[in-house]
Amino acid sequence: MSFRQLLRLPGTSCPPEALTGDEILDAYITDLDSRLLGSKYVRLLTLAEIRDHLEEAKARGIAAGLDEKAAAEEAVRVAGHPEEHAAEQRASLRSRFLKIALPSGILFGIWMGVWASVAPPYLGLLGAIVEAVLEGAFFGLWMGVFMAFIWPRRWLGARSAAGRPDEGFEVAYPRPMRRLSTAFFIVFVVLALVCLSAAVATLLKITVPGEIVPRWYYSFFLGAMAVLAAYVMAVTSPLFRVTADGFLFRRLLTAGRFVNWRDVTAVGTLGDVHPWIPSWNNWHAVKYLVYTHPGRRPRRILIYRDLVNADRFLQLVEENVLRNRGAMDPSLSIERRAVRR
Amino acid sequence: MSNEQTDAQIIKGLLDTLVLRVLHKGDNYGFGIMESIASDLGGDRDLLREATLYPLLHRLEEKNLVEAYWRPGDRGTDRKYYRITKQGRLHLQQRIRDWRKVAKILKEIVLD
Repeated sequence: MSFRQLLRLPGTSCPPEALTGDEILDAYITDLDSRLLGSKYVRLLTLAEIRDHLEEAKARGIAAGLDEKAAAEEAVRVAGHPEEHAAEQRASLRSRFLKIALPSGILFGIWMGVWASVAPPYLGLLGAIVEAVLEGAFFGLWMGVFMAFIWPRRWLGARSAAGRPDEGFEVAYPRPMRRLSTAFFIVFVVLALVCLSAAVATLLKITVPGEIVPRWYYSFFLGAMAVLAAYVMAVTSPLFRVTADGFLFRRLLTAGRFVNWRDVTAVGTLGDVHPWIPSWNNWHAVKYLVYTHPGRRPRRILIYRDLVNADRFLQLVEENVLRNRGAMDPSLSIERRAVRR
Repeated sequence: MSNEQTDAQIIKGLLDTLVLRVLHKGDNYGFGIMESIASDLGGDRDLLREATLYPLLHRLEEKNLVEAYWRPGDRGTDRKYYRITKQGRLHLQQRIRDWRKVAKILKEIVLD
């Protein structure tokens, strides 16, 4: 298997969701797909956009008097060579890979290097550097590959099955990912309990001569990190059950709360409210909504764009904000008004 | 820089402005943006090709000048729409001011 094929896992064949049923258009799409990188869902983002363009162009050709075959051929001709679109996608993914891999690898490497130099067994400066380089490279590589080539920025196709709001739909990460989050959460909670217990136990004993830092520090520090990781797992895996009346919002270990559409007062982008939020991994583009509860301060909920059905949910949120607040631009000013209330 | 490269840079800058201008009027998708610009350009519609438009849109998205969202289109399949951001509006205003200056210089000095 070639390196390029490896970067197309999982799902190396052309996603059926991208095909149109027209032989000429599908030949173009399949050719384009074979030149793209990334998992099936990453490639689908490019394929779906081009498919939509080809179908529109074909429909325009038919409306102009061409027969179906001629219209499809013309649509494909003006779309340009598939390589032109594919080259841009590959360059974009490579750039994303570097933007993720380098900072995360360097930060993790430094972290592990510092840890290796102060925690037993003491590796010394050279050992710490070797550990920092190896672990930083591995972590950075994995993060870059995962975020650029495996994890899509949006879930399309079967993942975002059609459904009207009155029928209800879910906004969440795919089920395997949620299970993985729950599993990690449990692991981190257990780790935290073990480490904090060990910290308390070793605190009562005499420290070993020659230790750079008393041993209970490590246990306490590791326990604190595990608590933090468990918290991150809990808050970054939300689940929204959307209905015609509102939505039920749930996170790990928190009771679900129902938010009525009439209580949703604002929607915006984090980067607009907090300009200091970095654009790294599109953090600045994370959306949020604000809702009010009678007698309580307005609360904000983050909506990650890579949740399945996030765009459909946001559309409903925007419509309801406009309905609730009158026809106005959903922006920071709306939230400020909501907060002042 | 060769003349061809200079022309390409000028046209690229111009196309950014044209795309943002279309999106300033309202959210739109690739084919719709293409049609709108082609209609505005008339005889110069060849300036914008499909293979140029999409990379350009993606670049604007990377720069946070536009944001994209997916919604079912007329055929029920996923369609990617683009929307100008607050930053995009500011950028467009700046670009329009720049182009006015350029047009003024061209008119008063170069083409006079």
